[in-house]
Amino acid sequence: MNKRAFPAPWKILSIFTGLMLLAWVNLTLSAGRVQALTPGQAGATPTVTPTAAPPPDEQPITSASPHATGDCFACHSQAGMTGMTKDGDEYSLYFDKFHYQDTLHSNCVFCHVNQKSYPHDSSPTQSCAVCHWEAAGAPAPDGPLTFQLPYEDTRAIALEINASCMRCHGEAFKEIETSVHTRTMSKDNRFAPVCVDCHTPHVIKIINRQYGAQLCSKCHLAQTIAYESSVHGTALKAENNQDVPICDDCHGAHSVIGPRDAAFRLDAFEMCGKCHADENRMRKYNISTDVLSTYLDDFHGRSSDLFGKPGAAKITKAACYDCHGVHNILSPENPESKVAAANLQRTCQECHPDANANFPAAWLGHKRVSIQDEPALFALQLFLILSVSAVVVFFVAYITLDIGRRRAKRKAEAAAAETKSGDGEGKPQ
Amino acid sequence: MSANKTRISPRRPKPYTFQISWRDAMESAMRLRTDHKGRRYVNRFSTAAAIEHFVLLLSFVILGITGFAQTFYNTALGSHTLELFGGIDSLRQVHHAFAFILGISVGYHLLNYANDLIVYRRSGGIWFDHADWSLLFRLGRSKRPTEFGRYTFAEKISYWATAFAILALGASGLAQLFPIWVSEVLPGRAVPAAKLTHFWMAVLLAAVVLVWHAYDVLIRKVNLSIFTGNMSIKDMEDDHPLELHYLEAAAGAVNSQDWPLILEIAREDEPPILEKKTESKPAVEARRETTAPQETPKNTEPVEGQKDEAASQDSVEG
Repeated sequence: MNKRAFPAPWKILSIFTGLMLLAWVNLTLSAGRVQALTPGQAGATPTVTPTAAPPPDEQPITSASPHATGDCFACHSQAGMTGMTKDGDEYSLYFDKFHYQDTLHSNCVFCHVNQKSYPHDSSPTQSCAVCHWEAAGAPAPDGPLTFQLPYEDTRAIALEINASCMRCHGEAFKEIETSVHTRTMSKDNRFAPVCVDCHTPHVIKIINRQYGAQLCSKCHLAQTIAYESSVHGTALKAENNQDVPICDDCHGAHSVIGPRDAAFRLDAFEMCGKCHADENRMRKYNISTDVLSTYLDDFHGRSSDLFGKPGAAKITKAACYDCHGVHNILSPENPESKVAAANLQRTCQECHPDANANFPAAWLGHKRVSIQDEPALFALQLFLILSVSAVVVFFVAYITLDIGRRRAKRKAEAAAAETKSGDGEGKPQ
Repeated sequence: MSANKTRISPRRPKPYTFQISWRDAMESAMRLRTDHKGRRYVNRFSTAAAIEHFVLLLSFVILGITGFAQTFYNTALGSHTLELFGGIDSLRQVHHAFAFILGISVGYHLLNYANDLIVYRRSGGIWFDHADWSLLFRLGRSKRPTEFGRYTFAEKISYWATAFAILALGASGLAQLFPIWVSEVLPGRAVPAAKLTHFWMAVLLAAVVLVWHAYDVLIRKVNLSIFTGNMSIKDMEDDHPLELHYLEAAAGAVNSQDWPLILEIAREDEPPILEKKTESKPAVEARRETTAPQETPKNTEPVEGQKDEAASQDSVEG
């Protein structure tokens, strides 16, 4: 009984070897038919291109079983290895080992937590049949190896992997918590960007400025195009100017604030002032750094600053970008600019529909009241300061003299009273 | 009133002349009062005037606090004030609301004055006259103060400086509140000009009230007659002798049969500068004739005369 129930070890070994041989033969034969994905497009809808043979590094499994080795590349370096989500989306399971060496990360299962064991957790059983087709009594696979994935769609994969980032990058996650993207996500928009959407998976690198300026265009194309034609975008594109802001300089990298949020409007002058009040940076371009202080001195700026203080209810006052434009900011000298003299009245009318031709002159154009720029206002200011000072000086002088005179009078009266009391004329009570 | 040739400073002011009706005489008699201890006092201000002044004071304080908190919002005091008022929005609303209240008060004041002027034919005594320019007492060269009527020099300065500042503040404040209307009739630069004016007029008003008026009514002498309405005879003698003389003269003439009556209140001569002799017989006699019997006549020497008068008044008042 015992012998029948438990076959001898040599029998197990021979069956296993036979199966392995069959698998090898199958894989070798199918290799010519395998279609590889273009590298770098993992996660996107796969563009399938025929390829002659796998690179020499991506040797198919030879001897040891992937089940035993725990080496991800044993399977995933096979070109054309594809996953199929429940919705029928194809998802490349192929991964170029060379890219992996370039990334900042070096351990697959650190992020792919659910794929730590093999077979992978929650993998549907029909996936086994892809390799073990013979055992399943299925015909030999004809085409790329396609595995059934336990995910609804490809987005579910990205979202699951994204949670792994938190394990190391907790700070970034804290920043993200308040971002408009997280808020969008919480409104059941699963396509709001997560880590891997910007920090491309597997090729994770620190985002540089040139790349950063285009990164957002994946979703915000219109804004990117407007930016590229702006005074900032042109300088970046044409001269690779590193002083100009890119998307995240204004919007933030992780803590992306919604541009319609109160906080964004309130901090707008600080956002622009970060560069435009910086002497060193502005000197190169001969731009006045008074723009921030003159804005804050005026009604709009002061209101914006004050609305940031506790108790602010509504934020309706003009921020920098209301006049200068949002992404399509142009130099004020540019006749197309919203703040060019010819366009100023129209710009004012955006908030003040009744603004007449005189109205834009109520704004001093970021100029200080000085004898060069505003002689009339300077004269008025001087007159007011001098006349008010003269009045105050008169008040103080008059009061000082009055105090002195009253004291002298009291003394004289006291002396007179003493004289009288000396004469025996006591003052009646 | 011929000039004395021996005097170097011969200027002698004309007496105040009033054309009074029986109503004025009755009103004067009613304003001369006696309290339960038998002390005489004068009713100077009506309840309406007290309320008006209280509204003015309240709106001055609130507008000053809310206004300067906006200007100096970056200071600790400014930001605390902003928090106290619940933020800039509500602070601005409070500022505008009290500006409106003050506007109403100013409107009432002007209508009231027009009523006084047109209906009652009273000019009110707030206008400057030549006595106001006699500042010799303050310059330390005279032995006695200039005599004033209903309002002293300090009160007139307070009034006109406040009036000027409030009108300028109102105009420049409205210009900032309605910049589009302003730019329809004026150049656009009128708005920043209004902003400058608003601030400096606020400084002027603060100086007038906190320096000049506070010294006049609180430090020099605590004078709350605008709120109580009443002033003691002693204070009237010191600060408003001519008004007291007028009241007494008018009250004394209440039984006259000849209306309207021309009332003359002689003023003290301008204080002499180089000569001690100051007697002005006609003026003093004229006053004796017109004043009520209880009025203590002026002595020949002003300083001594006033002192005696004050002493006798003290003895009357106990």
